[in-house]
Amino acid sequence: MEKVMTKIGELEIDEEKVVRFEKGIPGFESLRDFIVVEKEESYPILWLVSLDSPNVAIPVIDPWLIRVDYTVDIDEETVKELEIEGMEDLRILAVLVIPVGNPKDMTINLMAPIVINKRTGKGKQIIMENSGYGIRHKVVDEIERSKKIMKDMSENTG
Amino acid sequence: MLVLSRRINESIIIGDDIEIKILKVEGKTVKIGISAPKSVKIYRKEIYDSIKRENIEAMKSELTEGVREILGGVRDEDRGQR
Repeated sequence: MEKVMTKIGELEIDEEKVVRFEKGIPGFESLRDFIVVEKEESYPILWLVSLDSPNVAIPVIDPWLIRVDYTVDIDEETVKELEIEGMEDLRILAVLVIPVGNPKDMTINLMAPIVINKRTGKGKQIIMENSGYGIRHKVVDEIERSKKIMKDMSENTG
Repeated sequence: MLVLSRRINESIIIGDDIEIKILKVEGKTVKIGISAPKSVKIYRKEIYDSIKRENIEAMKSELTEGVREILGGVRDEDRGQR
């Protein structure tokens, strides 16, 4: 195991968990290797941490925790690029923006999820331009909406 | 930047397999048709730029007690399912 200094501190890197973004991600085009870190104190927020730059760590989350009926459409080209063979290969994460001093205005980018193939270690931030999702959904509103959906569902089935 | 003038229904070819055709001009709006292989990703520049901005903003995020409060509910529910 190799030790790497990152924005969230020194990490021991398990090679198998490194995710390679062949084209970088928008805004960080020159960075290739990242790792998804789960920290007890920030869970359910995870960190997409750059192994190339000690200044870059992006908060991400399982989007279904925020929007229960979220749908991701992965285009054929991405399936090829990431060598996705089945659902079990996939890990989907969405980028969070948490404004300093104003957590209530936290937003989630549902238009451009991070798609990771856990098996091949390849990742990409895809852009679902015509999905109807935006890049700045307010998290508090989405949680409210999801709760309502869950409640309606349990009332209808129960 | 290469600048070319084109009339309606005229095209530009880029490389071997990308064609860009001017379909309609109306006031300040130009309608453009693009034929390209599927592997070529085409986005409106402002969408790509806004995702770029969001990622950079995300990097500046601050994790505070308030964040944990907002996500407290989803955290517990999720843990329950594990």
